[in-house]
Amino acid sequence: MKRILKNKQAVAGIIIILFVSLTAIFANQLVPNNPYRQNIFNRYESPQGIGGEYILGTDNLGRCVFSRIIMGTRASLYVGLVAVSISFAIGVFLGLMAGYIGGRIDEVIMRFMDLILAFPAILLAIFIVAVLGPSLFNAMLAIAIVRIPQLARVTRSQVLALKEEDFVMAARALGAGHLRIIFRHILVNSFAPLLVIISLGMGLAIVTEAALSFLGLGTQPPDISWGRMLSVARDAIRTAPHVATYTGIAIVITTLGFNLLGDGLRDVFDPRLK
Amino acid sequence: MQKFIIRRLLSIIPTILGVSLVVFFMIHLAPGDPVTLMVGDDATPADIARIQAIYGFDQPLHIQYLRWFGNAIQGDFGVSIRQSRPVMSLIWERAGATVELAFMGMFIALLISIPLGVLSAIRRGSWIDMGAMTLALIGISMPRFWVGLMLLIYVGLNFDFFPLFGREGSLFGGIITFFTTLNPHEFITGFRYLLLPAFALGTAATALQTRLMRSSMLEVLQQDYVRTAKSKGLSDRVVTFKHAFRNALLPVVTIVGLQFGYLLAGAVVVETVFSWPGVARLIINAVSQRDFPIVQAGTLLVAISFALINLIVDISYGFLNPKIRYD
Repeated sequence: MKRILKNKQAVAGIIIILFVSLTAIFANQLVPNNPYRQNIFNRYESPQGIGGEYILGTDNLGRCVFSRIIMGTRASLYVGLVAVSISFAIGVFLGLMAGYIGGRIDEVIMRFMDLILAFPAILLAIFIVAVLGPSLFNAMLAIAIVRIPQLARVTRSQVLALKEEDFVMAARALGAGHLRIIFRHILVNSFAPLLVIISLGMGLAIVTEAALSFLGLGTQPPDISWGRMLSVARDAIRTAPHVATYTGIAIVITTLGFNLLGDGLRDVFDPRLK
Repeated sequence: MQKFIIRRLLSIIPTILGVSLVVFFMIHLAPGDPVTLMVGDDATPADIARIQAIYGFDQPLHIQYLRWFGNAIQGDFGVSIRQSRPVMSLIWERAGATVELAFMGMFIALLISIPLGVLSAIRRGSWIDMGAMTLALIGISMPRFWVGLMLLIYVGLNFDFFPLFGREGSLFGGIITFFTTLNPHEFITGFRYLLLPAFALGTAATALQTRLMRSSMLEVLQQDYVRTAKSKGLSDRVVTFKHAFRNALLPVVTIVGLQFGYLLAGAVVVETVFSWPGVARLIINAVSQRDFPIVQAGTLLVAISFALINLIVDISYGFLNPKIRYD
């Protein structure tokens, strides 16, 4: 933990993530205007700066862009958390099975993972959403599915390496059951590389959700999502460039936080790669 | 080497089979009746008949698949539901635009990332290095379509040189015209339309490759043969470029293939931003119109190109690095 706090990148990442998370938690208290309230007479208002009624201006329906960006943190973090949790649960489970049991099961699981990896991620996500129908849940599911192989592979390689370690042998000699060995000895020691993937995965999930929503395949109106805001903003790049600019900056800051943390953690856990 | 090439070529067959199985059966995993799913509730009997002709839903599943796959490997993906034209010719018309976009994106990425990565490695810790690495990290964090929007707003709207949307002429076609007739017009037009979308598409690749080039160069510079070359009294320039750079390039070459696949897929969003008439936009429009033959065929073909590119990279790697032996 101390080593993490000494890494500047990781600390910068943690600060950004805390900032974004707090924004999401206190979004209701922070918004200066109701982010859903439309005002047709105030369409495409320019940014008025701090102190003005609409700090970052208004969008195509006269809604406060600043308030909508604040509300949007919720959707992004929610999608990231849910998608990463699903892919983590399934990916780690499959990786453990493949690595620990080995043999046929290993072969089947890993070939299946290769199959998912045979598709470029964003394309597979689009295909899944196209089949299941556009919705926030299906988008999260699609994002989760395309991330499973990486988690499974890393978990598997960790299991394979740790399985032969002396402390696992010792645990087995002491009569520990398979579950105990898996959870108390192998999984705990695989934590570091998995944490790196989770952090980078959050960033990827947020960008992918934005892309899917931008294409109209993710979050559906009236729910607020940065990707959707950008897709509306695309039609108004002349009249209201501020909408696209600031919404995108919010995405970049959030993703940057998770990427900084992920990179930092990797340097801490595996200094050779620096 | 020959054995390896043959084995690698054969290894693509299970991939293609697997990918086609996923693309085919996924549609059947969807909730509801596949015919209604594909044509929607407002389908006319003619639409339903057309779907039946492509998929033969009255047949058992494995027969349906064999029929579909058998036609697919002959280039017959059926007829588009909304556009009443063969899917293959719709995709073929637009393939050039997407490939050109991905090529140009990769070209820009290499043009920036290789010199920048080398420079960062040589001047490790300098402000150039820090600046490049910060930019690379931000570059990885930016959604490509947002980069596209920003380029439209802050470059496209301010400089008449860049048209905002669409595509006119072809860059590759323009190059050929230029060499045959010395008329640069088509080349310049193609270039003007292509530059912004290609740049947007290439951002993530640029960022990743800069980081990779830097770390690979740093590693090579610590090798014994570089020290030997230096101690022989060779100049820094010769050591850097003749000894280190060429070896450091290897990992970048590997990733170029992989990245090219991602560029093809990433074109989905970038083409939407710039109204670029490519395959990706065809797929996206087909998704919103529930034109499943196009979605299926497009996904399958992009996945197959992805596999083929990786194949080419694997094989070329052997030629580039004679140390690698395949037996």
